[in-house]
Amino acid sequence: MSNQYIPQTVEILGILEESRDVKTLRLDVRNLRHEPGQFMELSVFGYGEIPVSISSSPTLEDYIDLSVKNVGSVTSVVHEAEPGDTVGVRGPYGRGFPVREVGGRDLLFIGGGIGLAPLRSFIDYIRDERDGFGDVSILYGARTADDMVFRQEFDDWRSMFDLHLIADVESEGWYGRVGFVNELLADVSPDIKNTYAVVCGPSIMMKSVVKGLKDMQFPDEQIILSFERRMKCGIGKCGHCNIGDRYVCVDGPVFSYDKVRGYREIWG
Amino acid sequence: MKKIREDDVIKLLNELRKKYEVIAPVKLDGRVYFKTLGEGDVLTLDYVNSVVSPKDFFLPQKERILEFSESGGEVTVEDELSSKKRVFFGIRPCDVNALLILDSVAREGFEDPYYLGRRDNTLLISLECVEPGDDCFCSVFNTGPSLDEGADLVFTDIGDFYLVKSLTDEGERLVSGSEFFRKATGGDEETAGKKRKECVKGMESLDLRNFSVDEEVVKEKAKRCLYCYSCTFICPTCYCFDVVDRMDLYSRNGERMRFWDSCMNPSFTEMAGNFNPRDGMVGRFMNRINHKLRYMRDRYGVYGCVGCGRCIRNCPAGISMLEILREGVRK
Repeated sequence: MSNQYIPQTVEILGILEESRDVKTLRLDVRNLRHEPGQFMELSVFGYGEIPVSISSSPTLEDYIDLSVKNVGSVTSVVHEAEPGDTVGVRGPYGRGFPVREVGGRDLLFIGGGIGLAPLRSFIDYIRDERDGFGDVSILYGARTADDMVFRQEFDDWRSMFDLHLIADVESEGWYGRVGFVNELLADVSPDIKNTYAVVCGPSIMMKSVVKGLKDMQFPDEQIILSFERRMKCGIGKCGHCNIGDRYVCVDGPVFSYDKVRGYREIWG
Repeated sequence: MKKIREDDVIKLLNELRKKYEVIAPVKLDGRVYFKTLGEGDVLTLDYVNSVVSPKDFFLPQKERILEFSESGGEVTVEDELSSKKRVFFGIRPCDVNALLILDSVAREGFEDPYYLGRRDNTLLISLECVEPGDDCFCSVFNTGPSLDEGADLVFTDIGDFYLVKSLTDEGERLVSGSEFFRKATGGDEETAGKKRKECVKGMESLDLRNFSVDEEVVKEKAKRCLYCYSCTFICPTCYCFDVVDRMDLYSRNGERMRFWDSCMNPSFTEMAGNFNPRDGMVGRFMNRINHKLRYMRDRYGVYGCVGCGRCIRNCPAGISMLEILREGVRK
């Protein structure tokens, strides 16, 4: 019997500062062959273990990226890590985005804050497998322009995709739009029949985006959501992440809206 | 079918102790607990059920799942499993069924090696019930008082003797290798059958086919909850756990532990950043009831309650699962 609770120890190859409170750990994990949207359990030994979505594309075979926002006891220690340090990882876990199912279709990505992390895995996958997908639009919002993550990718994305940015509040040097990300839905006119919307962000943001997508007549099956829950074990044993009879860690974290609509506590 | 004299049960267990770690019911301060028998422990056969459920011997209240050195360079697994095989004597049919429920969680998808290692290492000798306890309702879920699967041997009290039924090859070997068992008669089996029937008559019977949970009724009950978590800790089917790292300040080594957790704890679903998708006492209570009566059924095909009655006996606010089943379940 293999023991899934035992992490593998890996070296931190590099650390990228994404924003004032988000860092990306680039880890020495090769040929993981994860699905975009899957997550890892990241251990800082002595402090604990947290679920973190993989933010790099599986097309990059020499490393994986885990992007971590400094919000809790383990993540604050992660932020003190340096290249060369060792952390523990196990995974990949969960069901990622339905990459095959949406092949050839147009994609509308909608991300809020650190919620762009799992989307980036899929977006960069499409960048590297461009012929396999239709038109791609990315709508991204964060609290301020300084809170936007993966900014180093934006030029690259603009050259291939349609990228729209918005900040919740104004800040010095930001000349873009101000408002919530669901307002950006008015800027795009997707061919609904041929488009899948892929959404990840804070719960309240996902809720308002889903409402916006429903107003645009998106069928539930074409609204793909990635959820965050307190996934302690990652393998469907510890009971912390249920939405009804589903476990987010093994049945998700990616669900199409039709699979979770009507369950208690989807949005909290 | 075989039988064993009541006086010979303790002799049998003493015999088994030479080869196995033997877990059996003993009285401590007037209450019954399951315990690994040691010198001086006195077996009791006079009990409805243990205060704490037998799950503690399979999914312990706390256990080390790994050790690590401070640098993180070395990760070693601590082998918690005793190489000595165990015999668990006196487990009630409801609790055997509870283990079958825990099995379905532990075996689905990725396997849980700690739990399953203990399960595989343990022979179960179940003691059927011939008299229901005050708050017992196994009849509702058909998880007792008799048992046809899940244990290696099943004992039934028929007076001076226990009727002994073996359900597995390992159980059969245990019986045939011991001098304490003798052949049972047709009359013995008849006595056991009668006793089982009498026992069922003393319990609630509810038809659970096509039922749904009436949330309004259950919400009313939830208002009495005192947040003590007792119901989840003593429940034989509650399996939730938390994982915590601990460092030794002197050696600078550490260990990763898992502990029972409770869905009645407000921080159970709380994430870093303070987002809690399940807010409020009523939400937590509803989740517990729905988990037992709907989610487990829909996911694993088994109810998450076996009617052992522990949560009723131990709830300081008098919240009763049986009452919820009677009033809060709509056909």
